[in-house]
Amino acid sequence: MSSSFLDVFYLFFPYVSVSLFLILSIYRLITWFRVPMDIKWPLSPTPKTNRGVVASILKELVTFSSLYESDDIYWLAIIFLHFSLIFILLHVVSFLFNSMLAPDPISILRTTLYPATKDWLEIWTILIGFIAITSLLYILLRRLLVKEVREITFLRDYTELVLLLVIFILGTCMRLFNLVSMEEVVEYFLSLASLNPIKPPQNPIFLLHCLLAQLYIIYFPFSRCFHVIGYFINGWIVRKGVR
Amino acid sequence: MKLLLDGYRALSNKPEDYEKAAKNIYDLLKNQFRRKYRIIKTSLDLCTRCGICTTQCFLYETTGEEIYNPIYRINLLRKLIHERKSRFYSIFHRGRKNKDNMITAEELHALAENIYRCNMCRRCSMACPFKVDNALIVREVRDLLSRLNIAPRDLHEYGALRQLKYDAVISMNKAAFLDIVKFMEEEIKEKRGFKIEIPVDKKGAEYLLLNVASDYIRILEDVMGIIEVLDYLGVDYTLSTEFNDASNYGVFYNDDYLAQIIRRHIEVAKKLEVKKIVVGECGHATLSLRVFKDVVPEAREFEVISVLELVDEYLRRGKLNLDPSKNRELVTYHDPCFLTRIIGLIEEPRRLLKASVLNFVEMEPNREYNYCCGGGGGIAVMYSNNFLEWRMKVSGRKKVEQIEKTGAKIVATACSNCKRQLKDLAFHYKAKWEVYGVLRLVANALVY
Repeated sequence: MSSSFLDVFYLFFPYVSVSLFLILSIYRLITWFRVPMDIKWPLSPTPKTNRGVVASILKELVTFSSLYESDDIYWLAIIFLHFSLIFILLHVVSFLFNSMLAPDPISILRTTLYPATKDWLEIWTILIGFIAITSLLYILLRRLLVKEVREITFLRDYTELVLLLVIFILGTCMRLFNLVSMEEVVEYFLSLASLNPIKPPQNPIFLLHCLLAQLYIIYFPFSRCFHVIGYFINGWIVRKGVR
Repeated sequence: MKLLLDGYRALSNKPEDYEKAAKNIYDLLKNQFRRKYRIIKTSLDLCTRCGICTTQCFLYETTGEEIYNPIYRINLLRKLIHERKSRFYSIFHRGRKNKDNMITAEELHALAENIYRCNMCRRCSMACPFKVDNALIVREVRDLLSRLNIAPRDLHEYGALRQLKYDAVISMNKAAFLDIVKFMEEEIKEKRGFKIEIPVDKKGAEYLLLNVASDYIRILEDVMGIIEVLDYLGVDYTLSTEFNDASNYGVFYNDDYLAQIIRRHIEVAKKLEVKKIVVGECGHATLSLRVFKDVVPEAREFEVISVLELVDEYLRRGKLNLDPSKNRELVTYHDPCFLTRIIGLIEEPRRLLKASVLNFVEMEPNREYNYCCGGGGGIAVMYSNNFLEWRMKVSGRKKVEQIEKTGAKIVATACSNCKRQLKDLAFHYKAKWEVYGVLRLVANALVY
């Protein structure tokens, strides 16, 4: 494959993947909301007021309490995975914001959370990468080794996990061995955001990481990871016993 | 057709039925099942197969067999829904690769047997991070299959159909019912020393009391307990000679019969010009008239309460004078799944019991985390084939262990189905504990 083809590919594919992600997510939500919720069948004990329902949903969202009650090691792995995902999202977004707006709320949050000197940033990114990889490995091993989980697993469950794992490993390698400089990456993303794309940083690991991440977000609305949104819908129905 | 799952059989359908059903199931799936409830769609899409529910399912804990895994049956259903869509989609799923991607009669048999193994206790939903509602899914699959004439004999022919034909699940005519009422009056006179009058077919009363008909035959003492307490409190209630059976097996397996039976209940209530309906000690009957009453639009004008709520209201107002020393034995309370995890009657029976017994001990786990008795989801009334054996050896084992651990002599509960299953269990395991209704103990402790 010639490098010019690759360049062109990376100039337009991010737009394709992001728009596919949005369209498919909306499609998925429409298929959900087209079905009526015609039963009052709550999971008692339920909160009495709407505020109580919201509080209960948020409490579980932050603490993952129902997981903790059943399986505490798995709970730890899930907590680490989700919080590292949130950190990485914040990280990427804060970089973008940082360059677009001068004093943005997210970078203020970031600087208060940890010292934003360049070395610290590097170390944090690598550390979070390792935490995410470890927890993903644990989840994968649990799927492979624990009988009750293995016997209900489909092939696509492994595929989703492995895809996420590979993305994380490539991302962490990039930072660990400093394969691409952060400035280049930010520049590339900003150019994409301003609809005036430039050539991506020329590193095979970065390109692969980028490609897999895009495939992941295209697949996202149809993967189990769509629980990000479904959690609230199901949580509301069950706690409210909606009719 | 080869034998699937284990040796036990819940259904008595013939192989031809499954073959016929396997052809027709797809239309029903498309038009009915998938457009019914949003939570079913979201639940099927959301389940990440994390396996947390497997730690909660007592059936899986007892047996450790794959077929009792809560997700196993959902996976069977998921295959049914998705695999016909496309060949491409099916490579992501484990399992079947037959020619048309149609479900085979054997697989349908496995699914049908499997959904009648679920007790619909919803402990799995309690633990699930996304609150995937396995019980509702199971109920809807049962509904789907019952439209293809696949339903257990005990729920369908001996249950709902018989109730609609003879007014009660057990055939009990007016004369027999009046006899029973008379007998109860005499018994209470013997016990208390004074005569009480049980109102029957009284027009314009405030409450219509509906009991499960088989309670009048099997556990009359529990019904007498309810009547004594209501009489003591001076509640303006009435029994009905017509359609006096509160039970509604439609809850477990079919929407049409559910609606028909609710309609009959409402007819009775309208005829007797009552204001509210009180359901006796029964989980699924309370559920049918409270949660599913929206299936029948005219049912909305009646408020439906459980008798526990009614009596608890009086207890909190201090109208109930109880002497706990009349019940000296160690009592534990079994939370019926439907009353606890759907209707939410958790503290009411406990308040009543603590006020009326001397020694009360909780099971472990209790309240909304309590184990099912093993007869939930209509399984308690299924005796066909060798299913009683399954109920005793597989589904009830956990409960027996749990009760024995408390060392209680009396297991109080407030559900007719649970009582039936617990009594069967006590007989099978030659247990030393007895099963009482909550209000029977309350009636015992009354101070006149």
